[in-house]
Amino acid sequence: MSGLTLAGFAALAAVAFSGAARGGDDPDPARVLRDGAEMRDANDVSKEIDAALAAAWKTEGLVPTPRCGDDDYVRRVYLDLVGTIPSAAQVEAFLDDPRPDKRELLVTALLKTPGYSRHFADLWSEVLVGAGGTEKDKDFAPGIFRPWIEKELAARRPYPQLIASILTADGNPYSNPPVNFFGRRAFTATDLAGGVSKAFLGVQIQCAQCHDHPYEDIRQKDFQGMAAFFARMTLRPADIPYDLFGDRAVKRLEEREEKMVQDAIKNGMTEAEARADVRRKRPKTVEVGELKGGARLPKRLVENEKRLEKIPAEVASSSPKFLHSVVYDDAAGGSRRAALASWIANPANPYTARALANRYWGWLMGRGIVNPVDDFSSVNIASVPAALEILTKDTAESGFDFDRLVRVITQTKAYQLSSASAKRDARARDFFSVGPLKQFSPQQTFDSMQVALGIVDDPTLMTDVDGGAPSAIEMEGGRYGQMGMGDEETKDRTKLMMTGAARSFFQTFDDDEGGGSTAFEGTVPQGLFLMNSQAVNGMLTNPAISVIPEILKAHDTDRARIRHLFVRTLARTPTEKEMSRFSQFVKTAGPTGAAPTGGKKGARAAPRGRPEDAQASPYADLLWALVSSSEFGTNH
Amino acid sequence: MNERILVPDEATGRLVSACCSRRGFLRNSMVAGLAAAAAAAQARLAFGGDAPSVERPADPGASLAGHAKAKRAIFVYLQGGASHLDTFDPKPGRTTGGPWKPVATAIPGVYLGQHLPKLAAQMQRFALIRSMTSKEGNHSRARTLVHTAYAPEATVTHPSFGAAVSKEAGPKEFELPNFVSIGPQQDTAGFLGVQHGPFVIDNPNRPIQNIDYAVGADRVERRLDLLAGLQDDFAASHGKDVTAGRDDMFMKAKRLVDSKLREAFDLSKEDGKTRDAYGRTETGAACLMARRLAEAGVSCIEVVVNGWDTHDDNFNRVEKLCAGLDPALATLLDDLARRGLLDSTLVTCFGEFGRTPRINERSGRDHWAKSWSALVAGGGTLGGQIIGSTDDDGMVPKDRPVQVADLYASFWHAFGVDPWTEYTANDRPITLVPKDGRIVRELFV
Repeated sequence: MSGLTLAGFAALAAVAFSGAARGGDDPDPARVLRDGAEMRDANDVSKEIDAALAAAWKTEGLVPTPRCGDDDYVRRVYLDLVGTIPSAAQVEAFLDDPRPDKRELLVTALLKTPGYSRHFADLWSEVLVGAGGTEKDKDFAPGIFRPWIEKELAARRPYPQLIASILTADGNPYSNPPVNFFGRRAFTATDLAGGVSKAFLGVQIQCAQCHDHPYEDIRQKDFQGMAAFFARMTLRPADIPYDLFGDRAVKRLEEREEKMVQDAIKNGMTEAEARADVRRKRPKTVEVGELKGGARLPKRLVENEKRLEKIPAEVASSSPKFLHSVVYDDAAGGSRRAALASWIANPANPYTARALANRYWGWLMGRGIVNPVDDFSSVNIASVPAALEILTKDTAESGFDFDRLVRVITQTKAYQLSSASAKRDARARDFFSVGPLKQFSPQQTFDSMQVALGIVDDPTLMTDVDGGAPSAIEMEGGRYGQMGMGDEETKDRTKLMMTGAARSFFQTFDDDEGGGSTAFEGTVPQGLFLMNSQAVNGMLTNPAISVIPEILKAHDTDRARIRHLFVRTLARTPTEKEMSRFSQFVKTAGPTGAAPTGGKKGARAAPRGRPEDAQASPYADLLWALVSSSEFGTNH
Repeated sequence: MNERILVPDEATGRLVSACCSRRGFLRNSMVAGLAAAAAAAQARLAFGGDAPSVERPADPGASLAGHAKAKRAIFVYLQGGASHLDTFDPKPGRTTGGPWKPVATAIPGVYLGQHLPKLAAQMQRFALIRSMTSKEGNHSRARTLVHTAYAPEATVTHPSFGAAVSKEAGPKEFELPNFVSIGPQQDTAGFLGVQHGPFVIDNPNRPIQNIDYAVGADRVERRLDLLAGLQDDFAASHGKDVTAGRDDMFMKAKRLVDSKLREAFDLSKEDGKTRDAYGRTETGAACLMARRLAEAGVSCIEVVVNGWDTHDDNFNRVEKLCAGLDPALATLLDDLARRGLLDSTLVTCFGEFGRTPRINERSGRDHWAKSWSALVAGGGTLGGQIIGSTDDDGMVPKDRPVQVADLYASFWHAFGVDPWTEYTANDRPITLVPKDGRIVRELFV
C-alpha cells in the first residue's frame, strides 16, 4: 500500500491522538489529502484496475468473456445502482441512445436519482443493522434506521460523518436512528468492538477475544484495547416513544393499557396501583449513553435488567488502544467512542479505505477481491491484490467518495464483461474474468416484480424517505410498503398489491441469507408464493389491476406484444427461436383454467368484477413464466 | 460433598478424572434402578452416578448402545427461556423456589413443577438433564446456541439442528418438506443452503399459505411449460447450476400441492377427543401437527412455544404457559409411544436458558444461563432418569455440567450420525457439533 503503511499511520495517529481527547467534530480530515492534489479522472483509475486484472488473467491463463451487450448493461446497472430492473421505456431509451459514451452517462444519471440512495441504503442497512428480522426486539427499530441512512446518503453525507454519527450515537433507537447500530448488537464491549471492526475495518478481531489469534497478528490485548472504547457505554431502560408511530399506535396502546387496568381492578387492585403497574409493564427500549473520561466505571455495562452483561475485568482495566496503533489517553475526559470514530474515519487509516473499496467492489462485482468482503486476514488473501491496491488508494485520496467508487468500478471492462459462460468455474469468478452473476435480494425481487407487473412506472423515483411516520409494521421490525407512487391508478394497484401481500412476500423471501451458501436456490414457500399467491395471480389476471390489457392495447400484433413482455422483464428482445415458440403458444393456447381445482376454497384470484379477457390469458401466463424465471431473478 | 475421583473411561479404558457427588450418586442410582432398564442402572452404578464425559470415540456408534434408533426429531422450543425452577427443576421450601408445591412423577422421589402433572405422569418416557449450563444470557445469542450448538460467529451461519437433520437424515426425495417449523421462525439452514431451511407454519390452526392453486391446474401446467423453455435457454448460456435451484423449488412446491401427504398439516382430520387431549391451545395444535408430520415421514419438526421470557409476573404467566405445554407435550410423548413411533423419534424440550433463582421486585425472573434443564425422550434414549443436578437454589450445576454441544453430540449419536461430521463453509472446515462436545452417555447406557 504505497505510502500508507501501518507504521506510517500509527505515527500519524500518535500525533493526532496524543494528549487530550479529540472528538468526532474534527473538520473533514479528507480535505488534508484531497486539497493537496487534483483528483485523477475516474476513468483512468478504471483503466489501471483493468490492466491489473488483465495481468492476473494472463498469469492464470484465463480468457475473459466478451463485452456485454447494451441490453445486459442497462439491466445490470439499474439493478446495481437503483436496485430494480429498468422499465421497458428505460430499456428502449438506452438501446436507442446513439451516444458512444452512453454507458458512462447512464451511471452519471442514475447517481442523481432517489432510487440510488434508496438501494444503497438497503445495502448499508444490511451491513450496519442486518436485514430486519422477525423478532419484535424493542431495542431495535430497523424501520427507523433505513429511512435515516437513505436521507444521509441522499444528502451526500461524507463517510467520516456517517461513521461518527453511528459510533457516537446516544439516545434510544426510535428517537435517534443511528443508535440502532448498537441496538442490533449485544450490548457488550466485546461484541461492539468485534462488530465495529468488521463493519468499518474489514477485520475480524473477535477471534482474539479469548486467545491470541492463531494465524493473525491480532493479540488478545489488541482486542481488549478495541473493546475498551465501548467499556464506558451506559444503558438505561427508556419508554418507547409511541407517538412516533402516529395517533393510531398511541390509541392502540392506550386501549390495551386501559383493558389491563380494568382487568387488574377486577382482580382486586386499586385503580392507582393498577395504573402504576401497567405503566411499569409498558414495553421498554434502551437509552444509550457514555460516561466521559475520568468518570468511575460502573460495575455493569448495562443497567437494563434484560441485558445483564458484565464488562470483563480485562476489558474494564484495559486502556483503549487503536488496532495495531497507539493507546488513547482519555484522562482529560471526552468520549472514547468519538475518538475511535475519528481514528477509523481518517482517510489515512489503511484498514478503512481498503475495507470500503472492497465492499463496494463486492456489491457491484458480486464478490470481493478479498472474499468475504469483511474478513481480511493472512489466510484470506486478495485474488488480485494489485487491483485492490489501486482502488484503495483512490478511495483514500477521494476522502471515501462513494459515488466515485461506483463510477470507477462500473466503468471497468471487468464490470462490463458478459456473464454468459456455460461453465462458471471458481477461478474465473474469483479473478473476475467472467461478468458478475448475482441472485436477487428479496428487495430486488419485490421491486423488480413491481416494475414488471406495472405497479411502478419509474423505478429510479422510488424512495422510502417521504412516507411520513414509520408504520406500525415497521415498528415490528420489517420494512414493507411505502413505495414511490405515481398517478392515481398506480396508487390503487399498489395498494392492492401491498395489502398483506407485501408482508407475506417478505416473510416468504427473507430467508436470512449470508450463511455462506451462495448457490442459486429457492424455498418451497417461495415457489408456492409465485405459483399460487393472490398477490401475483391477481396482478396478472384481474383486469382491474393487471397490466396485460394495457399492453394488448398499446401493441397490436402478437410479435410486438411478446417483444414488449421480454423487454419489460428481461430488458432484451426475444431470440427468433423464442419468438416463434411463444407466438405459437399465444395462437393456440386459448383461455383455460377458469375453474380452479385442487383447493376447497377455490380460486381467490378470480376477479370480483370483470372476468379475465380470453385474449389476455396467454399473455398473463407468459408474463408469469418470465417473472418466475432464473433469468429474471438474477442480475447477469 | 464433591470430590475428584478417577474412573475408567469405558470407551478408551483410560482412567479419567470425574467429579462425583454422593447425593447425586444416590439419587441417580435410585432413579435408574426404578426405571425399566436395569442394565442401565448397572452401568451407572459402575460409574458411580456421575459418568465422566467420554473422549471422542474412534467410532462413536460402536461403543455405546442405543444409537442410530432415531429417524426423526421433534424439538419443542420454549422461546424466551423457561424458568427451570418452576418447570423441570423445582426447589420446594427455598425462597428462590417460589410459592408452588412440586408434583410427584412416575419415578418415586422425582418431582416436577406444580403445573406439569400430566408430564410428571409420563416421566418414565423421558430423561431430564438438570445441569445444563451455558455462557449466553442474551436472547438472540442464546437462541442461536441452542438451535445450532454454536454461539453466533461473525463469519459463518451455522445451520439449525432441523436443517442439519434434513441434510443428514432426511430423504433426498420426499413430497413434504424435510424440516417444518411451527410458530415464529427461529431457524436458518445457514451454510447448508435454503433447501434445508424450515418450512414455516405460522399458525397450526390455519391452513398453509398459497397451498391451493389460484388458477386451474391445467393453467399451472401451461405456465410451468413456458417457464421450462426459458429455464433451458438460460441454463444453456449461464450453466445448469444457476437454474437448478429454481427448477427444484417449483418442482417441490407443485409436488406439495399435489401430494396426498399434505393432509398431515390438516388437524381437522383428527377426532375431537385427540384434539382435547393435546389441548385446544396453539401449543396443543402444534404438538398434534408435529405428531402427524412425524407419522407422515417429516424428518424434523420444531414447535416454538413463545412467552417464557417472564421478567415480570413470572408465576401467573408460567402457570398459563404450563397449562398449554403440559397436556400437549405429555400427550405427544404418550401418543408417539402408543403408535410405536417414540423409539424412532427423538423428542426434546428446552429454552435458550433458565431464569434467575432470585425473584425480582416485579415477581419476575430474569435471564440465567448458568443452570437450566433439558428434556430428552425417545429416539433410543433412556427415559425415567434425572441427569445432573443444581445446587439448593438452582443457581449452578452441582455436578455433571452439560453444555449445549454435549446435548447435540448426543442427539446426533441417537441418529447414528457422527457428531464431528465435517462440512466446509467459507472455505473453512466446520463440524456438526463443536469439537469439545461430548456425548451424554447416560442417555444411552
